[in-house]
Amino acid sequence: MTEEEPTIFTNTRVDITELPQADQLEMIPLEPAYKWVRMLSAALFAAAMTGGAWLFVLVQPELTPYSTVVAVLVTTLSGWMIFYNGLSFHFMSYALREKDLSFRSGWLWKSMTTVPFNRVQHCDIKQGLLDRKFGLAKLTIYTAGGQSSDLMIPGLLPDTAEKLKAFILGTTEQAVEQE
Amino acid sequence: MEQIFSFHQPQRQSPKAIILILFRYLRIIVRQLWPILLVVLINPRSGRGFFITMGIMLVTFVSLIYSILAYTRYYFFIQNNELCVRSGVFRKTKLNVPFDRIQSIDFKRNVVHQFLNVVAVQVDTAGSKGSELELDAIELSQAEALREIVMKYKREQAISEIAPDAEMSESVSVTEEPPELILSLSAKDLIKIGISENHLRTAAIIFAFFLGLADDVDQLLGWDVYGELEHTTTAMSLVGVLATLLAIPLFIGLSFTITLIRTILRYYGLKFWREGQRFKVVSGLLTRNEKTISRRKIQMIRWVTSPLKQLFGIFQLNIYQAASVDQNQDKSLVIPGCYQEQIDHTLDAVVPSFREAVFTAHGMHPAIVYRMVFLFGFIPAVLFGLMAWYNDGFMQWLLVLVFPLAVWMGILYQKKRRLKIHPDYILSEAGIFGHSYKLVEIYKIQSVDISVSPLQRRRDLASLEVYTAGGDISFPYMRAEMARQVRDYILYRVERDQKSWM
Repeated sequence: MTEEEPTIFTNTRVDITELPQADQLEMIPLEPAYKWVRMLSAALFAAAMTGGAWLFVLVQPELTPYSTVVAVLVTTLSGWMIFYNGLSFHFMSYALREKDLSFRSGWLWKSMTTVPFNRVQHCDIKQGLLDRKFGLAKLTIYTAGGQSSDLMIPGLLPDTAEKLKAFILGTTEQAVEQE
Repeated sequence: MEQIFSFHQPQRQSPKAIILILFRYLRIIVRQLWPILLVVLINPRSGRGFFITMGIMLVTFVSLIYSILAYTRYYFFIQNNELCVRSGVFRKTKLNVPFDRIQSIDFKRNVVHQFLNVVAVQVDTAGSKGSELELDAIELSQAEALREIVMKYKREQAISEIAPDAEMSESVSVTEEPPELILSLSAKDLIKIGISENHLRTAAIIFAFFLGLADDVDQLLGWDVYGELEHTTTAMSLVGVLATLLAIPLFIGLSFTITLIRTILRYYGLKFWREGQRFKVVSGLLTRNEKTISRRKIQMIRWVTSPLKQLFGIFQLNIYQAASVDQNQDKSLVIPGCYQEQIDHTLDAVVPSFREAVFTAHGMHPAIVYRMVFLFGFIPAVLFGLMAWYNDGFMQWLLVLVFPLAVWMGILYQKKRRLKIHPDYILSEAGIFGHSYKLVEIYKIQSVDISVSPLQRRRDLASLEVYTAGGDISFPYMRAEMARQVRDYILYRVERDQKSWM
């Protein structure tokens, strides 16, 4: 490590630049069917909101100029929400390494969370109603770091989810045995 | 008085628990219904007094019956190294907590406990929701015996786990070394702490309380408190101005008194002990709380000072342990005021080589100031602006002040914010007017997150978020390249380290 370059710290035998880099990973995209699940569930919610807003306009005609504006706003937002849910699908991907799992998401606000396997408390696989219709599953990995540090990977084939879970738990058990 | 408790037979709590259960139910009822009770008490219309008395008696009677039932149906015992509880009046609940899961066993005594000479026992488990366990009241000797059984089991487990490591098993067997008193708060210390607490927060709580009260009164009695207030304030007569001028010191005095009382109630006679590998805090005037954290379980240490605290040279110290999310606050050890000396002492005990460690400091990009100005300048400005627009008062003057203040705060924040990294630790420094430090040992980190907002991407910046089981460290606006390197290093350390994080 050279002196003039800002380094994350001195006093180490580990060369930082030689460490495995979580960014140069092969990111695996989610199942394409998951895009429809996202858009459909957003559409259901949007339909309920928009329906409610327009119903209000009909029932309360004395508030018309204001309530119409609100209803139009709700409708536009709902449309945007459906579109955004479809769009953000393309920015979701995950990556599996020997010792950790990463999940990347976000179109404008990007984020990537990494959980090392030897910190996993437990995992579960969930299938919502829509997930089942489209033959998908969602894998959640829990750590002791609280909700914000848990990792949820949606849009997996149930088979893949099971395999991932087995791999993660297999690795955690090994890590515990070695202790 | 040496008694041997085996706990293998299902047994009930102390019969005194009935009283404590009753108190608990009544407190819940009163908390739910206090606005109604208030109205009943200050507005006892004639003729209804009888029904009200009957109602209160009926509620009390039903609660009493329920408490007795709850007591008789509550059994606890030990089976296969698990602490088991069978309870429930209508719906039966079975709860088995394996000793391995138990993080700590704390005792709590409120006034009633102290009067009846019993303790409540709180058994905390890590992470797993719904397995926290609480006994309302058992005899102190019994509680201590119960704790000793669990602790003995855990000690034995610890020894058998690391038996080949001679050095470690030695340190485990020395757990019985005499306790060392690190800090004992005197009355003078308590007053210093009371003075330097955050009065703005108390003021906000009082304010919120009065708003809530006004709402309740309005709904129940039909007194329009807001209307009255608005009437007096908008009039802005000489009386109004005088009233406001008088109200400010009164308000400050009130919040000051409340803070002081609260401090004394919570921290009276606080004693901070170190017992070998464990830290213990006992405190409280009416409710004596005892909390213990074992050194291994500590996840994060935080020490904070504010300008007022700096005057007295005191810090607030928090020691966080692994805890389920919703109870984080409860499970941390809080020492509201201690001096540099005790901070150093604690750090030496928890992270022995920390104070000599050489850190590399990373600053925050100046662009953070924009965000601070947005948060503390723009948003309040919009709020004040709206308020000024609706009722033309003095609000527009605040508008002029808010932006320079936000810029100043932003600059101070950016200057003080540091992420210091050492091969073994991460230290996050922050503060606008005061100072705050958060220390995490890298191998205790649970997961890492890097996020980039559109604004950050333009400047090639990123936010780093590090999660532990006892709290998070977040550091926004650092160079993206650096954030990635830190992340990769943390992952490398966590994945390579075989040391148990708790």
